[in-house]
Amino acid sequence: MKKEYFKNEVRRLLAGYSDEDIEKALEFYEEAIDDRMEDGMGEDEAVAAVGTPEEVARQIQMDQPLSKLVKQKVKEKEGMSTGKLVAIILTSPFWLPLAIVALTFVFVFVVVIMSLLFAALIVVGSLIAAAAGAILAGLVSVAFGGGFGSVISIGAAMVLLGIGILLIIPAKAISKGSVKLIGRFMRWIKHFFVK
Amino acid sequence: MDIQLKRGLLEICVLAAIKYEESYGYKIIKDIKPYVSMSESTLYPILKRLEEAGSLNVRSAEYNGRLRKYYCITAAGRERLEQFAQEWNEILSIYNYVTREGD
Repeated sequence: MKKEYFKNEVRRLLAGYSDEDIEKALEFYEEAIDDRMEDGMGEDEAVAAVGTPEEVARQIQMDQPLSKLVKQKVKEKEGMSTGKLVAIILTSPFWLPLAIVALTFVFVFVVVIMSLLFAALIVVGSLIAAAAGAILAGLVSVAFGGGFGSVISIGAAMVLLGIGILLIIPAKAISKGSVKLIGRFMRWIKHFFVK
Repeated sequence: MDIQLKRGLLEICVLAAIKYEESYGYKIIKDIKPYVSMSESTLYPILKRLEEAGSLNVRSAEYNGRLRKYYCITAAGRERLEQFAQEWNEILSIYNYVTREGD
């Protein structure tokens, strides 16, 4: 396969996707093909070594955001025959609830993960803020002659502050984990839109 | 091998290939070939992800009358390599424990 043919194949497979993304990727592959040819490979061999047009097109698709993939899928479906369209509408009582359930599932999953993250941050944040406030209040009360009780409340607030600071470590792990989890989940969803 | 693990390992390998000096696509593939064999269609998304994560910088330079992209590791990229080495030290000690021979 020649380089120009390879590039045109990728363009054909990705018709409808953003030209910018395609050309940027093709620049990379072209550079690699040129480098391999300078290294002594023949053109066909060099083109074969960087991957098949299908592989390359698939990788570019997987790099697209989910919204673009869905839009593209919808666009491809636009050229449907009337018969097919009627069939889709007639069967909608079956697939519509399923589609709604699927969408709800995606939505709920992301919301659950996000709220977990939110809860973790709020717990740590409020603990630290409340403890800092209590220490300040204790100090003021000592200054105004609050006596032994105020000193005890300062001590208690410091314990809370310590707990809050310690909790930063698991909170950090939770936020890292949830971001990773959502990323993984989105990649999994993408697989349904990329052949 | 677990696909997530492999993805992470490939990213680390690419970072390791540019650890000491900047490099370009084909050279990275050649350099890591003794350890992992990878084609451009695998390397491209990895480089893109690493760039988006701030682990490397890209610059274009002219070479033989055409443009070539060079990839250069960032401080964050180095930190990732160090973190990887640390984590695997721990895993290695567990491995040694798991595979130890009885007397």
